[in-house]
Amino acid sequence: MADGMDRFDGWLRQRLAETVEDAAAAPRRRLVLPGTVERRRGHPRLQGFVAGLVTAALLFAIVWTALNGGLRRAAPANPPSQKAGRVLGTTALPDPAFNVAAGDGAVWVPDARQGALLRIDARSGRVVATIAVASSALPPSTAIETVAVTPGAVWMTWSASDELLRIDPASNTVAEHIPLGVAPTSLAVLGGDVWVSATQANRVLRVAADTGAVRASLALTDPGPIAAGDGGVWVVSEREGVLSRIDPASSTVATVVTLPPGLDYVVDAVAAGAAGVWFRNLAAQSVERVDPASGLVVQQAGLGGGETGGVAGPVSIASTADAVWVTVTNALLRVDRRTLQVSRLPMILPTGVAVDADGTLWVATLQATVMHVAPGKG
Amino acid sequence: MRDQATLMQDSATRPAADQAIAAIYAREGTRLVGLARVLAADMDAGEDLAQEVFVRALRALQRDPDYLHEPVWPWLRTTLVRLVIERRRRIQREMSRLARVARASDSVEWPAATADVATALAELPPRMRACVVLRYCEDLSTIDVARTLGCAPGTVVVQLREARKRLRLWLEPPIEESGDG
Repeated sequence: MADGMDRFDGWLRQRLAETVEDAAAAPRRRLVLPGTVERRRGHPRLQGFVAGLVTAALLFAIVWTALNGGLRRAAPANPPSQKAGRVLGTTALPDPAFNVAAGDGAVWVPDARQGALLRIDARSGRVVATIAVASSALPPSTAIETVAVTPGAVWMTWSASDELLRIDPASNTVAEHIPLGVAPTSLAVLGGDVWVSATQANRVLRVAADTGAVRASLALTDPGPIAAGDGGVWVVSEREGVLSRIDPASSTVATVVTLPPGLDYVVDAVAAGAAGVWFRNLAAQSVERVDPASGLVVQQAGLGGGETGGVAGPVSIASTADAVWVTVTNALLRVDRRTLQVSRLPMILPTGVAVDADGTLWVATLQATVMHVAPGKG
Repeated sequence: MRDQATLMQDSATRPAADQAIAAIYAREGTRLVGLARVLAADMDAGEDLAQEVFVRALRALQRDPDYLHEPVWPWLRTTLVRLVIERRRRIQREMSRLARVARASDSVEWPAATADVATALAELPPRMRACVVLRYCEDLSTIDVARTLGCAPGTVVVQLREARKRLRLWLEPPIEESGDG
């Protein structure tokens, strides 16, 4: 199988290289470069016609976009302040971290390279246990690891393994391997159930936390990031451009938000909790709140792109009672739930963010650290 | 009102920025246009995007002559990718396409030898397409692709897996496959 994929990858790489070569060599119709003597040439009347057409289309697009905004109260990307929070401590890890969960006095970080789950003592900030959870180390590029905490259990998945793992925090051992039959993508916990999305299989599974039994398997196209709270389980379907709510009482899927088509409305993170249901839109560099009752987007906060030579794209999202927290390339952003004011705490390459029971935050980074953050008030 | 020193600095900086951008274009222009056309899966839109990247570079250099450091290519590539997945730019490109209706005969055709790949890429969503191009054409690691796109590495893994599945189906590679991998 691996050999077949390697050969396909090699073939694809070759074809793509030829395609880029062809594209570069093809005639250029109208590229105009600054700093050269070449300037756009053309009939002034035609240029005027085109400019008029473009202007009219631009106006149409603006009106169309505004209309599609519905009930949104859009906030401009506010100049960031330094009031997002303060770092209480930093824990060094053996490898870059992509995800983190917190609860019961411990912080849990999957380590794909070691095939392990790291346990950090929340009080001392020290790694106190390295729990082997995979038979062998998994290459980070093939392992999407997700982790969540419930009282008395830690739940974890690897994309490379069709299993849901239950780790016993009392003994720091894997207590149960629950076969899913599908490759997991993301997981969330609600009440006594663990919800697992499986992108490739187009399924969302409901697993009973006490027995490990798969209670329901729901068909959903391209389910990705998943979150639980505010009366439901929320699943992003990126390809379909919808944010779906699953009713935990009936295990039925109700499509709640259909995102505007054809505009690269790229949603790939969702959080649900006391602050409501929020998702982040990578294309618009914003976080947006959905009203669960109406299914309408009712709040939108621009995060601001910023041209720093790198990319300022959000990576993860979480919510507390008064704020939504988003990691971007060089900062942890706090979006005030009420004012939509954005403030930032600079940090390097943060990835996952988790909210502890005491309201503090734990942020994993690709710098192989986990940072403990006291939230500010914005 | 700007003082004389600032005005003098501006007048000195602008030609220098022009020269710098001309040099960058001479070195990287063809490569960027090729990449832009593949990322956009559209010859004309790719040209627009490449041009926009150079315009941004020029503006940046006019503001700060030391803004770009060698190697410049990663900056050009990242800026290009961001433009591809940026909604506002897409709207503008769509409008440009509308404008081109009046002169459709000017459009550049994709060479027949690789038209199948271009057509298949065009069917992928922009970000998935960017994942494929950055991974396979630019040889970026999963983490670097994620950094460039501003998303989680896991998202890149999922996007690449889905893209491989679709491209294998659409392109029918002349090699024996034995699974999904």
